[in-house]
Amino acid sequence: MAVPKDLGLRAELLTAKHAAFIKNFAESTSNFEYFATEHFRMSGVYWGLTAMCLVGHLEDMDEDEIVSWVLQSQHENGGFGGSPRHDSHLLYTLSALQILALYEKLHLIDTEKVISYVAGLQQPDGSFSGDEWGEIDTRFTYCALLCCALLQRQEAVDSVQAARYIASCRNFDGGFGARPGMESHSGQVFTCVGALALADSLHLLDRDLLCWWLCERQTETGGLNGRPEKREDVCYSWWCLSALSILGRLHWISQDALTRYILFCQDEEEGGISDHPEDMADVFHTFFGIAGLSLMGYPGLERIDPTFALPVRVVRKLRPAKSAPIST
Amino acid sequence: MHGRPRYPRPNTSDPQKAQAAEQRVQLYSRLTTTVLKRLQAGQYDKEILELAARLLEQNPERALEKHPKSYATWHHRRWLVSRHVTSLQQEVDLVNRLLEADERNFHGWASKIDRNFSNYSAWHLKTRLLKKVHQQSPTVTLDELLKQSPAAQQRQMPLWALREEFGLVKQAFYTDPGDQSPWLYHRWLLGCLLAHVKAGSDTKAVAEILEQEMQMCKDILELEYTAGPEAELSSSIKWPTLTLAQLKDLLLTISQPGDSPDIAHTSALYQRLQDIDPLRTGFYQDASQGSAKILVQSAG
Repeated sequence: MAVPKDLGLRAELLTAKHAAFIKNFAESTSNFEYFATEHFRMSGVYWGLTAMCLVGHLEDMDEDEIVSWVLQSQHENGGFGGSPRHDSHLLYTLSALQILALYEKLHLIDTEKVISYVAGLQQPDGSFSGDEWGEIDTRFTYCALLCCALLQRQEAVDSVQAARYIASCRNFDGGFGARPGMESHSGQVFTCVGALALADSLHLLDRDLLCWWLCERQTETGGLNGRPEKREDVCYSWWCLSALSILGRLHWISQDALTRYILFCQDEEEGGISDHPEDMADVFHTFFGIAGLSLMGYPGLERIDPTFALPVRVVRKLRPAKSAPIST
Repeated sequence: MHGRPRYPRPNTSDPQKAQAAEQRVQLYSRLTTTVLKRLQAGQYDKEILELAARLLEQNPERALEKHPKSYATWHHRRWLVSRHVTSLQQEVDLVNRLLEADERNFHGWASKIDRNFSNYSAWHLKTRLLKKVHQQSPTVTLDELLKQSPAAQQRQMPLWALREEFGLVKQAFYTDPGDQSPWLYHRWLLGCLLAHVKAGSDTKAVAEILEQEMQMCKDILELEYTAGPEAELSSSIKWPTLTLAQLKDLLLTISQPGDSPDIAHTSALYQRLQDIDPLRTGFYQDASQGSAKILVQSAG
């Protein structure tokens, strides 16, 4: 669907509507969707809260209730589940730490327990499994390295081996897949670039080649897709853009065209942003659309850090003053 | 949300629908609570398996057919195969069915070896297979590759194999020059050719291939331009134009003093590309100044 010249009510980012949409979603605890998404709610909360923070509405949410719920989701093994009833997993451990970082409450957890959970998931070849059941995916390397960075315990895992494993997932097009041999995908590219950045190993990728592949994700609608010949989707406004940003090539896409695509995907009546203009909005795409706009410097939004996927203000507070900034 | 249309807006006022929705919520909530409680108590019996199956909408195979891109479901299937709960043949049959439904499902490709090369996933798989087939030093370590050590340099595709691949991909171009996948594969082939240059191989043979590819691009462009003005801004013009610019850059790299390769007008090509493909103006501007090096021997 082409983006019309006149975006009408969608011509600007409707921040108040989106804040209301997210708040309403958080408070809708009796519909089917609430139950069906319980196993990954931790990530949903992270997406919603970070979006609220970027649009300046974090105080609309109940901090105490959320922090308490996050802490209840930590299990004996030190990891966090998607919710208190669900088993630990690296994905939700990261989301939990990111939420606590937003609220400057990382000091409330037992750092050693979390670190030992994360480090325990590293394999001899440097990869990470998501949990005790052994699924390996480069996403989990990013999760693990970022958990360590958030808790300032980078030395707890073998980041050299971790970076080598990521490098072994490089493909002919400069991109990265979930495991060695798997096809390049923008989501995996983000996590691999993020992981290499955290491991101070960006020299292990072909910067120009990868960024060219990434800028080729932009379709005639202005939106970005995940890989060649696929349809554009607002969430790639984050996966592709953050990688381009880390690698200093954001100017290789048309930011103007992408901005218009994201704005066109807003729901001007109910609030929220969707993957495509004709689809229903959800918190996931609302966050990634806003995050993409933030990376492009859209006025009125807090700046987001492309490696940590948290507001820059939050990241600055994490690191000791003497350390160098990670993102360009 | 994927596959959920914004319009028409869901009707929340119909009492019958509201009641049905409420019942569904109650059932799901009861099932989840029961299953999770029993798991936590360590009760792994037949009944809980049946309850979990209901939760997963009957059986794992159905789950995949409804959600063919679920990472967790695919991982679970691999676990089942590793424990001989399902046979490898059954697995291959399932993957074939899913790939017939969606050729681009990379979970399926990761599970499968096949010979139907007709899309990007397939070209990607080809690059992996060709490396394996033509690897001359199977004992090269990742360390050696990363350090670009002499041992790693041996991992080149022989020129005869490259010529075959250029021939194959040319057929794809003439079938549909706007299809980007073979052009991206072509860039990789050029990168493999670059490896021969760096290794000091027969420069004349490499130059011959480059001239041949340049001629092919020019021929395709001529065909496309005669197709009419609509073609001017299409991807079937962009890809041969970009490839022509890359080929000229590569020829420049290997040209000797005294040669006069047709390397003029590269900047004119990049300017043309900005007109054809304005979204990527930033890239083309950097490329024309030599600060966008995409012709590399990608260490994939």
